Amino acid sequence: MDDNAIVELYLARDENAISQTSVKYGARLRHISYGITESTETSEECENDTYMEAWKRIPPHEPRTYLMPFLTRIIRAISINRCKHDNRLKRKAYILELTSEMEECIPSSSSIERELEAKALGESISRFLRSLPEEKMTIFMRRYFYLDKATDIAKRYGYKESAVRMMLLRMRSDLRAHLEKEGLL
Amino acid sequence: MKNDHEKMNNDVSSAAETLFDAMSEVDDDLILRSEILSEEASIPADATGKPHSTSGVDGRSDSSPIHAVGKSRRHSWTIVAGSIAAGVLALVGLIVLITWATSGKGLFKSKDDPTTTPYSTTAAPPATTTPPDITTDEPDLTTMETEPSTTPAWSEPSSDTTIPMDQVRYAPDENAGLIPDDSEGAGAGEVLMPYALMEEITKPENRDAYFAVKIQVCRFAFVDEYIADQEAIFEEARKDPAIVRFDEAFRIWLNDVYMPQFTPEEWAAIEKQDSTGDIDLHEIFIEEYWSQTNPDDVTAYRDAMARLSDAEGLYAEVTRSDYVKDLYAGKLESAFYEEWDRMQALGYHVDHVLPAGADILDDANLDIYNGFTLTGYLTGEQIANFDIDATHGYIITWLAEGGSLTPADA
Repeated sequence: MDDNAIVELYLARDENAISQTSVKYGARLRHISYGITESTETSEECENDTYMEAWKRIPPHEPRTYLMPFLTRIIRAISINRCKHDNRLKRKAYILELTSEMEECIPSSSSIERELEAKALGESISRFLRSLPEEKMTIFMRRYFYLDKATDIAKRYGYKESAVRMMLLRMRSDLRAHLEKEGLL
Repeated sequence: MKNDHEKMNNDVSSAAETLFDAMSEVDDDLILRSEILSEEASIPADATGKPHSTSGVDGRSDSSPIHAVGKSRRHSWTIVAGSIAAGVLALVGLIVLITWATSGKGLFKSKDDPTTTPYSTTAAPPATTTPPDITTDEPDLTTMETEPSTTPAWSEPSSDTTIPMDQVRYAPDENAGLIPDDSEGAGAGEVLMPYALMEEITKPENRDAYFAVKIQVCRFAFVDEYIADQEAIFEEARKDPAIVRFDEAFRIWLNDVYMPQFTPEEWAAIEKQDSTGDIDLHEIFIEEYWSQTNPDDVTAYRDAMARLSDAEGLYAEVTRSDYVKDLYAGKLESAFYEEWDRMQALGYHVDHVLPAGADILDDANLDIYNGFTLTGYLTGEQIANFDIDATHGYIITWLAEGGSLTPADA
């Protein structure tokens, strides 16, 4: 069933929407969540929570052409929150470590205005990512969107881990320059 | 224990958190493209959602250091043209390789060859042996300085000084080149080296001679501070007033009330049962006495013991390298690159690739206490006046020629 038809089911408040979503995207969503939570049980719970959240958000959203990214964002946020609030120290610590890497993207003297919308930042980050070669863009996404470990990224792309870490280090520095240039920081 | 991670949260600025969260707002097509490109680059997940292992099924991740022979990656376009060109150049490379091998020099210096050095010090790849990746339009990682980037100029190993390899000084044997005990690492601002090396570098004739060395960069302030914090939390939990009160009451009850009921033989048996866990004297104390006279204290005691158990567990975790590595891998790596860059700027010929081919920056080789290991060549004068960063400690090992240096030996 194509995305448009699935969204129509949501809009019609037909509960078949969830089963169709599960059939089409369930495995992929669990995979994304597992990459973050490293728990089969938790990833399945996050998947179910994602469907409920999608049910709430459609309408007013109508992700007819972007259903997969729509669901991906939801499950990413749910999975990260689970890691932070469940008392699973290692995953929580890992997420904190990734967040702390973002410190390098921010000049020490600046601060992000509280009113600054995440969406505006997201758009700026998108512009930055588009300026990168595809592989580097993907590596950046794998690290900071999908929360992959550097070792896994290295295996996926055939680099040594040190090379991946070096790439990420440089990209974080470039992102800082980009955000400064766009006046967001 | 919440305190440690609340502290970690406080250490991560809200700006960093906002930026991290903003990753969720990147454009849809970027999410889609990254997902598709990731699938192309790896094996897809199975039906349970668990990812398959992406361990180098094609062996690409086991290739030589990137600054030695460049990269090997898969592309989905221009395969035919790329394959033909790569095949021709590979044939040329094979001919050169055979020529090198039969000349006795070899492509890479073998650690078993007594006339060769344990590792390469050159950054430039032997271009004739590696077909260039003409299918890519991306910049070569070995020439990062040409990118329009504001990134720091992380140094590549220097290639502008010729080291007379036949005159490099090696330790007479592996043991002579080691310090007696490096398990604790070197303190901040400290430089440790074996006596045998110290003797040699003080000789005038060795002032400009090159010595094969391994330098262990120890001590990272943020790691030490974190461990000290966990230790303090553990100590504080141990000295909780509820636990102190309980211990004192238990001691009095045991000596004045409980023990006098038994003969020495009976008491010896009871002590043995307590030591093996068959009985718990603390629980007997709570059940028979304390819960009846101090019920509120029992609750406070149990809460305090739960906190102590958490603190103890976390303190035990921080002594395991992997846990703190997870927390601080990014900072450790940045600190390493800063230090490596600083040494390169001083003219020290050091690299992070160990003779056995292992890269110290690989996760498995990183030690949070004794940090990173660099290997290379320093002159007697450079060692004698070793320029330190006072926040780190350094252990200089004098390498024996053809020695079996592996990360486990670091």
